[in-house]
This record gives sequence, C-alpha cells and structure tokens, in this order.
Amino acid sequence: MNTSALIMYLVANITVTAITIYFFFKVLNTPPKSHQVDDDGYPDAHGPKTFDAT
Amino acid sequence: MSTNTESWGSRVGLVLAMAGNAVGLGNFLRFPVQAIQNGGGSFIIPYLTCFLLMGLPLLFVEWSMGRFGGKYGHHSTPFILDSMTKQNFWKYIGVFGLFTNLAVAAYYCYLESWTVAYIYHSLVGTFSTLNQDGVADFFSNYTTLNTTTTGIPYEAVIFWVLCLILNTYILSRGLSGGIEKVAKIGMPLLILFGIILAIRAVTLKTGSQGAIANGTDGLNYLWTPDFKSIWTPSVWLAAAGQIFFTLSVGMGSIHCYASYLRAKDDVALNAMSAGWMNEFVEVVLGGAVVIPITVGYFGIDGMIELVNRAGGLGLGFRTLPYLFQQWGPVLSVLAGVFWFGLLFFAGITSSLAMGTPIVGFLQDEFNWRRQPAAWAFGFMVLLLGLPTVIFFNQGVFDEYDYWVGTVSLVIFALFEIILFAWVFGIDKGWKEINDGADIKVPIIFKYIIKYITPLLIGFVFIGSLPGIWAQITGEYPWQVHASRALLLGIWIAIALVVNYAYRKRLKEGRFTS
Repeated sequence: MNTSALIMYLVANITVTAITIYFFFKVLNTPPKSHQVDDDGYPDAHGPKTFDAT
Repeated sequence: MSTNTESWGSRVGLVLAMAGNAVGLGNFLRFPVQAIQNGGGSFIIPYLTCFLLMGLPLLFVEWSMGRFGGKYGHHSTPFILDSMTKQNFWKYIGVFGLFTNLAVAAYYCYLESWTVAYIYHSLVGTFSTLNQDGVADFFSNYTTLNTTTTGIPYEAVIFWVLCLILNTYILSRGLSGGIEKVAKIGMPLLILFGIILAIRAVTLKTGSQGAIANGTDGLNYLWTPDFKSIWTPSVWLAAAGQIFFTLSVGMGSIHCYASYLRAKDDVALNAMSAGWMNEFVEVVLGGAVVIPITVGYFGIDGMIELVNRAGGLGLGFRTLPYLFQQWGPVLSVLAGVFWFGLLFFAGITSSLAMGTPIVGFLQDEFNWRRQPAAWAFGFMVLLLGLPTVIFFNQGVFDEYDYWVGTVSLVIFALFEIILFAWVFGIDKGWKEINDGADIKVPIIFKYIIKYITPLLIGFVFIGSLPGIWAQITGEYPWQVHASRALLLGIWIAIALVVNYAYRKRLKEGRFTS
C-alpha cells in the first residue's frame, strides 16, 4: 500500500474501532438504573395512557 | 387496553438489536462501491463528517422520540409523532414509519432469502461444479423463477417463503424471547465471520490459489485518497446518502425499538454505541472483504468493470461464490457459509426490526396479541412481496427499493427532524435526549440538531430531485408502473387505518398524549 492509502486506512480503522469498543464497554460496565420511581409525570411505560374522554 | 406489555430483556440485547437493525447487506455491498466511486480513501472524510452531523443527531432524535412515545404506550410512529404535538396531521406523517417498514420488508425478505439459498448451495457444493459464467448465470436463473441451474423448481420462491416463516416465527416470540436472542447470536457471529473473511482477503498473495494480485492492492485502491474529490458536491451527496441508508434512520424501526425503553432509561449512550457498531461493521469489515478479494482475482481494471456492470450486489452474489472456489474444497465451503451467513445475519436483524412497528401498531390500536399480529405481518409481506419476486427481472424489486428504501426515508427524516427541533422544540427535545443519559452529550449537538441536520437532510433531498424526476419520466414496463400504484395504494390504505384507529381512540376516550 502506498503511504497516503496506509495512513487513511489506519487512521480511519483505528479511530472507528477504538470508539466502537469504548462505547460498547461503557454500555457493558454502566450499572443498571433503579426503576422504582418514575417521577417525571409520565404514565407507566408499559400500557397506554387512558383518560376519561368526558 | 393494549396487549402490548413487552420490554427488552437486557441493555446489551437492545444495543445489539439496534446495531443489527442498522447493519444490513449495504454495509458490505454498498459502502465499498460508494467509496471507490467517490474519491477512494478521502471518501471517509465527508462520510464520517456526515455521520457526526446527520447520522448521530438523527439517532439521538429517533431514540428520544421512541422513548417519549413509549411513555404513552405508543410503539409505532403515527401515534409517537402525534403525542409530540397538538397538530393533527403529524400522525399521517407517521404513516411513513409503518409504510416504509412494511414495503421494505416486502423486498428485503426476498433479498435475505437469497443468502439462505446461497448458504445451502455453498454447503452442497453447487458452485464447485460451475465456472465464472456458470455462477453468474446461477443468479440469473435463480431470480427468473421458471429456469433453474440445480433442478429445484421455483427454488427462489421456496427459500423466500421459508425465510418469511422464519422471520414471522421469531417476531411472534416477542422482543426478549425472539428478536433479542437472534441479535445476541447473530451480531457476534456476523462480526466473527467478517473478521475471518477480512483477514483472508487482505492476506491474498499474487500467484497463490490463482490470485493475480495481492488483496492489499484492493485496499490500496480503496483507501488511496483523492483529496480534490472532497470539494465535489456529488461526493458529499453520496456520503450523506450512504450514512442515511446505513443507519436505518427515517424508517420508524428505531422509534419502535426505543419505545420499549422505560421513562428514565438512557438513550444517548445506547444510540452512540449502536451507531458506532454499525460504522465498525461498515468501515472496518465492509471495506476489507469484497474489494480486496475481487481485486485479487480480477485486478484493479477487472474489479472496476465488474462494479460498474453489476454493482455491489453483483459482486456479492455473481462473483464471490466463484472466487471462493479457488480456495480449495474445504475453504470454499467455509468461505461461502461465512460470507452468506454474515449477509443473512445482517439481513434478518434488519427485517425483524421492520416487522416490530407493524406488530406494535396492531397490538396498540386493535388489541391484537403478539402472535396473530406477527403472522398478519408475515401475510402482508407475502402479498406485497410477491410482485418483487415474480417481476424481479422487470425492475419491480428496484422500484420498491428506490421509492421506499430511498425516497421515503429522506422525506420522513426531514419531517421528523423539523418536528423534533422546531415543533416539539429543541429545548424539550434536548431534555429528552439527556434524560437518564449515561454520557454527557456535547451541547454542540443541540445546535447541530436544530440547524445543521435539517439543512443536510434538505440537501440530500434536493440533491435527489433530479434522480426522482428521471425515475418518474423514465420508460418502464407496465409492471413497474403497477408497482408504483400499488405502493401509493398501500400508503393511502395505512393512512386510512391510522385515521380509523385515531377515531377509535377518541371514541374509547384514549387520547394519544
């Protein structure tokens, strides 16, 4: 490979691989949140909001 | 009351399913061809710039919109969009999110079924008895239906129906019991197969196993930068288009997957991780398989001629099965299984994502259980996909791909970014993105989402207009015109169903937000 191709190849591949691994490891290592309190005023995530139409 | 009470089993499963949704056959077949045709190594500069300015912002937006709609029990775009504004017409913009998934699934499942058939034929050694023209003819015969290389009548239809049944069955098993399991198995295998093939491709040596060039000559050609091309608008248009289609944005499937998150679940880190995983598969693996192997056996000129004549799809299905045969009886079978296996996993993780919004809509609006909703989706895909199978050689498949898999995505994405940034409001939108976020999203994305991303999508749309005009005014057989009418009819039919569901909601006192 010529020098400019090699530089483009290595920079692009190493950058993309490093960022992918970084974020995926962050996903794996972030502790799960507690979902006991949904205090944002929204209804429960599972099931539609139901109102009295009157 | 909706019967839809599903949720994701694990965060890793969700990220892999989202990445699988984005990773498709285009990562391996479209990206390298686009790079070659648009400046080689320097294509990565506009490509990654568009990823940062358009791809990632759209991922943040779609994940946030999906989770927002999910808080109100919506799992498909018509009512997710409706819940974000008081203006009534947005639900009809959301129709695109059902229409696109249904119509893309209709032809995509056929494409996916080719990979199953090619795995089978790699295993039984069909290609080992054929020369280069024979392998190319195999594909033509396969898609012509009434001709066959192997003696199996209508085998394309058989594999297609099998593939549809498999998709429908997995969908009927639900999010954690079906889709997530497939993603957890499929994505690691896809990456493993890709790494093995990439290593084999770049280690090809001149004179070894019939190769006339080194595999690295292909990489050299692909990555040699032509920096002058960076100043060419058409290169930016190609880069923006590639980013658009590789991430599966503008479809409605990301909204649907994200709608099963809980109110305080992260969207920022998940979107980043899934998006970058797609980039890894596309740039690192997708760029290292097809082109190096083809250059190894045909040289640079031969590869360019093949790309111009048959495109990425032609390289993948007409050429590579023949080239694998040069590697000996065992390696050729393994290479065939790995290549079409990775394309299969890329395909099925995407087609499952296309089914989920339809199933979710039927569950939310008509109280269908998951299983009948999934089988209804399978039946709809069967009916809508039939024209692409029967009239493949008349251009119906390409017509679906153009209008649904290309134009429709851009239109929907343009509307949704306007809704999110300007109607819903960027301040509320920014809060949605950062609610429960496990990473700090740089504030600059707030301004990118508000100003840059809509302009870029507008640029893609305007840049596509000459092509759209040429498509409309071109001469085509009646089957193509009929397929256009069919697609338009499907869009209108879905809009009517959404209207009916909305009136039903009002009657039952179930508002959308």
